Amino acid sequence: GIVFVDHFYSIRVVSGSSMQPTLNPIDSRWRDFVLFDKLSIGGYGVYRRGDIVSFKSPNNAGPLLVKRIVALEGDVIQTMPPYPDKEVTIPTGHVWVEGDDWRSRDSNHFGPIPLALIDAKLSWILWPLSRLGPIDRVNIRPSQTSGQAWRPADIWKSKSARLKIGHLKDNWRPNDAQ
Amino acid sequence: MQSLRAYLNTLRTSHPRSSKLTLRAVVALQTLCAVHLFFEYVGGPRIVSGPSMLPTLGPGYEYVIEDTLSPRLATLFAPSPYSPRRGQGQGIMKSFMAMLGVDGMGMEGWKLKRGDIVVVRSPVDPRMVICKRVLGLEGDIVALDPLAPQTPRPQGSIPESPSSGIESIPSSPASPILQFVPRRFQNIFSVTPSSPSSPSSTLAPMPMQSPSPSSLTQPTHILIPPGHIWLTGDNTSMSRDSRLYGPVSVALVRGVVRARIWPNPCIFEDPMTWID
Repeated sequence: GIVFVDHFYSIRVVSGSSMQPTLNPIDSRWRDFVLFDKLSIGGYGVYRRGDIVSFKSPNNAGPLLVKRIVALEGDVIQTMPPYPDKEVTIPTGHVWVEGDDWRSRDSNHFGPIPLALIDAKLSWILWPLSRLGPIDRVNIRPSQTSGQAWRPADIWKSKSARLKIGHLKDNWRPNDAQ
Repeated sequence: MQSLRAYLNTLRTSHPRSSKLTLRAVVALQTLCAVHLFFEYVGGPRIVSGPSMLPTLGPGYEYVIEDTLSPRLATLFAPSPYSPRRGQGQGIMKSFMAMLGVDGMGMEGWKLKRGDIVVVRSPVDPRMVICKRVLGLEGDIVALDPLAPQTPRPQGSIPESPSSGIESIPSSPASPILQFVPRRFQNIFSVTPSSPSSPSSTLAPMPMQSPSPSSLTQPTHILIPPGHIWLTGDNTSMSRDSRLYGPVSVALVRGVVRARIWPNPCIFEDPMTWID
């Protein structure tokens, strides 16, 4: 039983507002119950830009954080404050995660996280029933141009606009060569 | 447990032949799971190999005992970010124990110490598990010696520096990981950077001494951010460790190597001494 929950799938409650409006929107009375998929991670799993993953916080050994992968290794991303550098090249074995909400504590605070910290991928929302279904994987594609205007209302276009240079392989695995 | 046994007994009495196989299969699966969980949560034997920890751990295969309970206990007793006194970082258990007056009375054995050999998930490759020694904990300042022999880098993984001809990690922008991976958190430790005019901002730049070609012989100092440790292999000339990829998050630590079973059984003691 424990082995199944640890290594395959588990259902957990997501709390916090850093992934609004995808998870825990303001108008919801309950916290979301989500299916955590641990089979898809690890060195042989496929990580895509736009996946929502849960990972252990790199700064303190506390609870798991839930954010979205925005950039993979080798990509160049334009960061948001409070990150000190304007642009970051994601190093080998790391990813850049950001929350959907603009107030989230994510890679703009602690930088790119190593892939080994990622604990599970969020695949399905199980409660509330009105939003039952797979979590939509937003397709974040890199843009070659920089300097696009960032409108806070359109988070996905803005995230794509900040992903400056990236390889366009969609099914990316960690052991792929650059 | 009782009901499971009763169920298995009824299986055995009802269908003699097929149930025995099922019974054995179920018991075998349960035993495997229990053993696996024990190794995961408490600790067990592990095989280590590689030249980076000579002479402590040899280049061939060695069987060691890995203790996975200590990092989990450290996670449990770690300062919680949601505690009311946020700035002081007091864990719930810690404040409870301090209230009782048992502040660290012999219960510190499970904490991660400088000098522990740890098994860590590699930050550059999620499939690899590495075994190194902890040199610095959070808040420590590590001095990198630019004249020390450097490890040959893996082919094609980290771009070489175009500017400096000498392959020394701290004084050239050759290691993009080391440049910005440490910039991870608000710098709550009061360490003054080298330039006196910069204010104590929440994100103090690291390394503290900005690298320049003239300072090739000067050591670079790196402040280990909260929640991170500095790993080093005993065989520094053949070890890819934190000199390459910077401080490693404590959350990546899987276990602490306590003793070796074979070939030379021994318990690993703390080799660190304070230098005044």
